[in-house]
Amino acid sequence: MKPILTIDQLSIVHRVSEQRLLNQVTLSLQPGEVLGLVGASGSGKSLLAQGIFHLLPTNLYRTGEIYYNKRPITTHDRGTNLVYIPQSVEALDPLMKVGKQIVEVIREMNPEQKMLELLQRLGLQKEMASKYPFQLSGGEARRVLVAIAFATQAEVVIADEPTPGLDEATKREVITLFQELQQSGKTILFITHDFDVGLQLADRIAVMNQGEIVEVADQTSFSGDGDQLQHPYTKKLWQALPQNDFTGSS
Amino acid sequence: MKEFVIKRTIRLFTLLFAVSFLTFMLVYLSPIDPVRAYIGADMLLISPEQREAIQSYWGLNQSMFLQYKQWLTNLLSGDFGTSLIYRTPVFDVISDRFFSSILLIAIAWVSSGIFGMVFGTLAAMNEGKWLDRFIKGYCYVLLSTPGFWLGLLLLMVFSVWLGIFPTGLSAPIGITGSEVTFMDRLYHAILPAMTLSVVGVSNVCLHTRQKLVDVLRQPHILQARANGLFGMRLFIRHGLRHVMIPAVSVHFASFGELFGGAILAEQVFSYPGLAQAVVDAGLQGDVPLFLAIVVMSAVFVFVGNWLADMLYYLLDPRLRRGEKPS
Amino acid sequence: MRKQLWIPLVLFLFIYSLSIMIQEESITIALTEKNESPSWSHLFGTDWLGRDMFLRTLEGIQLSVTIGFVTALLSTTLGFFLSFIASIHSVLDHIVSWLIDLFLSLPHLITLILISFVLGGGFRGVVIGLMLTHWPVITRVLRAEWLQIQEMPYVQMSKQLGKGFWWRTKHHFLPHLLPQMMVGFTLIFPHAILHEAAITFLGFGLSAEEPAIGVILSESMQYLSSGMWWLAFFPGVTLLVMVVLFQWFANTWKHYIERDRSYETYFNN
Repeated sequence: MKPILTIDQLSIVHRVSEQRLLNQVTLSLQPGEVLGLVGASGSGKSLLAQGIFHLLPTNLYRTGEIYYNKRPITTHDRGTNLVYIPQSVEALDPLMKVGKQIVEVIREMNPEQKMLELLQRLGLQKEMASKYPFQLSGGEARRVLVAIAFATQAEVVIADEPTPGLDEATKREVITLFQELQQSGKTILFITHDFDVGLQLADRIAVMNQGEIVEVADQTSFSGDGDQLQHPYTKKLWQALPQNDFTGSS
Repeated sequence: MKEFVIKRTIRLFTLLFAVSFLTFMLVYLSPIDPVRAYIGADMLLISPEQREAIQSYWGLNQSMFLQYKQWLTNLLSGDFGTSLIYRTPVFDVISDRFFSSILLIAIAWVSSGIFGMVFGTLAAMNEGKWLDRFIKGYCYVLLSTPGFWLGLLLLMVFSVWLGIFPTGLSAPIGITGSEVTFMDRLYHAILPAMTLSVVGVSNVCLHTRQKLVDVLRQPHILQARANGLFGMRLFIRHGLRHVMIPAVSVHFASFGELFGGAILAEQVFSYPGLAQAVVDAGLQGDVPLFLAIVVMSAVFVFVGNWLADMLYYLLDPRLRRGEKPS
Repeated sequence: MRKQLWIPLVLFLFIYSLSIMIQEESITIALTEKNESPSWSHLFGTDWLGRDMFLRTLEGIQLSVTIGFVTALLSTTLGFFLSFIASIHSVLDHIVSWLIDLFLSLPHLITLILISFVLGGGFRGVVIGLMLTHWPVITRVLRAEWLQIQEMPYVQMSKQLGKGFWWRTKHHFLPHLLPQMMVGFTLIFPHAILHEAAITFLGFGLSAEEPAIGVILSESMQYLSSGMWWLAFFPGVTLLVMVVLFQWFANTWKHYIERDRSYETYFNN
């Protein structure tokens, strides 16, 4: 199969210090797959998401290329072929009603109608449309962000750390939401520091450390003592999970 | 919401009361002799008995608190006393000049607000580029410019050299008040208003710029851009709205500065407004007129601040729907 | 960064020291040279009494800078004491906050006129008036800072450990407040200079015999219609240059002091 999104030797460099925050990252996503990108905070995961959209802070620049269906992506791909699900509620405009923010990215006839359908599909009340972001609970905010992803009809979803600071119940809810996204045929790059969540969702896992991808492994490789894993860092991560500490010690 | 409005309104009145009392007390304690101010050069001609008669006529021999009470009750019933230098009721002196001053201040307020926000926006959208540097430089230089000196320069250039604008008075000489048209007043107000606006722009502009720069770095902008919004649409929908609230509110809160600027501008251009009356009153010891204008200017500033607060409340859904501002 | 800091300061101090060196006697009335436009012998021209405008301007600058310095110092000190009082008890804090609101509620110029009305103008009146109009801003900043530090765990800890009030002031409060006070000082200074010029221009400030910029400009108004532009232009420009130089220095310095904080905001974004 042809990969739908290819990240080819992407580096992100600080303009002044020339420090490489992301070094030669190469990844490709097959249509319909979920690729989990895990790594500790500060490993450069979020920068990768911003780098894909070419929306880096002005003091950083990128080298390398991103391809969508074998052609380099442009700004036109934003919101049409690629969609971004950010970290938190803060990524919603605090002064704009939720419904309007969803409508804004819909590029079809009857956006209002479509928006209400989406709310219903994601189990949100119709009244949600006229609320402001600060009135939403954590779970509701995630649903709205996912609604935006559905609204764009983009094939590829880049989700940047969608689960931090959530309680277990809400976290499970978010996982279900992403499974729904996947079932509707979307390709997902799921960036998280939560190894556990990554494993529950992803078909393949890419492990990132200090700005580099150290290993890409199938989800099935993460079993037992981690014998199928190649890189020592990946093994360490795997063995540090609570359930494995159990098997390791017994 | 209701609680907030009531609290603010109560504060407005307590502060106004305090201002009026303190001002009255200061003036009472000052070495200014109102009798001398009233009589003027003929002071030497009056006898101590006559002097006493005048004092008791004005109620000047009563205690300070009684005088204050009297003054305040008169003030509240619309009686501002009689101006000593104009020899007419203070109310007439003020109302005559009120329109001139308001016209001047309104033109300056609106134009500096519009230009300030436009320039600030342009600067923020081009952050770090030459346009931004130019606008920022302009604002900083203006912040260091004595407003009245700028007025002098404009007066020299436009009135003396080019002769486009008149050098003073809010109406042509030799025309009675009733014949003065609005256009006449406007024509005479242009130069002083221009002075005020040119100086007033910098504050709003720098504020708008800073706010917009901050807003453009927020996560919701990143989200909106990543999901396909760009250009003016992104800017107007997700940037401008955030900037408008603080910028408009800062601009309302600048009423006080504007009033101070107006005093200077009116003096430079011999524009007979409210502010110029305070200079005359202050220099010549016209206590009733002086007190009235000080209190009026305080009302002016208070109303500006109060409007700023209210506006914030009305425009920001987070406040309106009952959450603390972030 | 360093250059941005010392270039304006050195220039500022250079002009100021130049103005100190001017002896008042050197400004002489020379009716034969009256109303001359700027030339090499009289850089800023001469006035209607033949006095050299360059020397008069420098005299005025010296007065302005001195007044600005004194008032900025007094306002900062007053702000420090009031913020200290506010930190003692919440009732006192309310009083101080209320006073701040009260003083901010009158336009600066009106307050200045009021004070000079009561005190009768002059150097003393101007300085007191300027001090009373400029303390609220810095007090507000210092008060907020003081209250914030008071809540810090390490300060609470010191208190628990029985460290006295003065010990805490010296080791916890002053190191934080001092930079803020210096920034406040540098912000008040140019403001005070401009306000002094304005109030003097209106006739409420320094008396007409003083060689103040405000006096020079107010006198120049009578001669503008006869085309003697240099009487108003150069003194104003010089004052402007001085204030710009100082603002430049103050802005750079403020950034310099706050560099840690701005660094932090950058990374949170």
